Amino acid sequence: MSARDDERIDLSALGGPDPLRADAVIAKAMTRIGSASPVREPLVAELARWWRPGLAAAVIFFALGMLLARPRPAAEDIVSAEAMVLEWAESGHVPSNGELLATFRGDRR
Amino acid sequence: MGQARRGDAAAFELLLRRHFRAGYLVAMAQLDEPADAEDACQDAFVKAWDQLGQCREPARFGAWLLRIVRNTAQNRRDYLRVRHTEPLDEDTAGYAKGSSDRDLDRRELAGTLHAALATLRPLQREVVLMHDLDNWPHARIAELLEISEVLSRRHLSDARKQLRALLRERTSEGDRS
Repeated sequence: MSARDDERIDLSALGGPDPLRADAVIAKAMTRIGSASPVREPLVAELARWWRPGLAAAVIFFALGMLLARPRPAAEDIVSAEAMVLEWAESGHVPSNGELLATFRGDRR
Repeated sequence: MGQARRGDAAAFELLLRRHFRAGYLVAMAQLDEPADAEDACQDAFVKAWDQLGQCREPARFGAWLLRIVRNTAQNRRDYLRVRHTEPLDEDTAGYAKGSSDRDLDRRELAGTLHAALATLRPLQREVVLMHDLDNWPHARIAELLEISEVLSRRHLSDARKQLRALLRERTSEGDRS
């Protein structure tokens, strides 16, 4: 390294940072910032904040879904085929093929 | 920094004031015109506000901000290169006609310096601008550019050597013509 390499090069013709221009640039940026939305956290941080309530909601929905999806017995299933036959015997009613089919199919359900 | 992250715009403005000079010089290392460097800074500051939650090391906010300024200035430089072939508009032509000889000399010198700076590596340009144009100490340059002080001195020395050689060459070309 020569002694000349230690000498400063005059770059003033390029124009350095001007305090007045700095104020103007910062003011314009702040105006744009003021009209924009507030600071947003990164996606990971947002997810981290919402995972507990999200998990609780998922558990509730799952439990409700299980309750609603459970098969409920139909009304005709409650009356057994045996009771129907007993009723027919007592009343002297001779069941048609259709009645027999409906009764015993319902019994198997 | 903590206040700024919580959405305090006034606190963010203070941070910008503290780092404006460095930001401007980093933008100048990419762009020839001061007005372009200022526009790049403005855009970068707005981006920095939007991305403030991503600044993982608040103690190194300055270096983080400069990375955003550098990227924004590079994008602007690429955009301007594409537009460069378009003809001068009326205003620009009028400005050139109305300029005094002194302004023109200064612009010519600035053009020569920019051409010489363009031959340097980007990091060398940033170091030489911070040190020789704005008198920054190596410790501060090293901190903001995320390099060692030794490397900062080395870049400055190399940059000066290269700039002197180029400027000498151009001066002698000018004398001959």
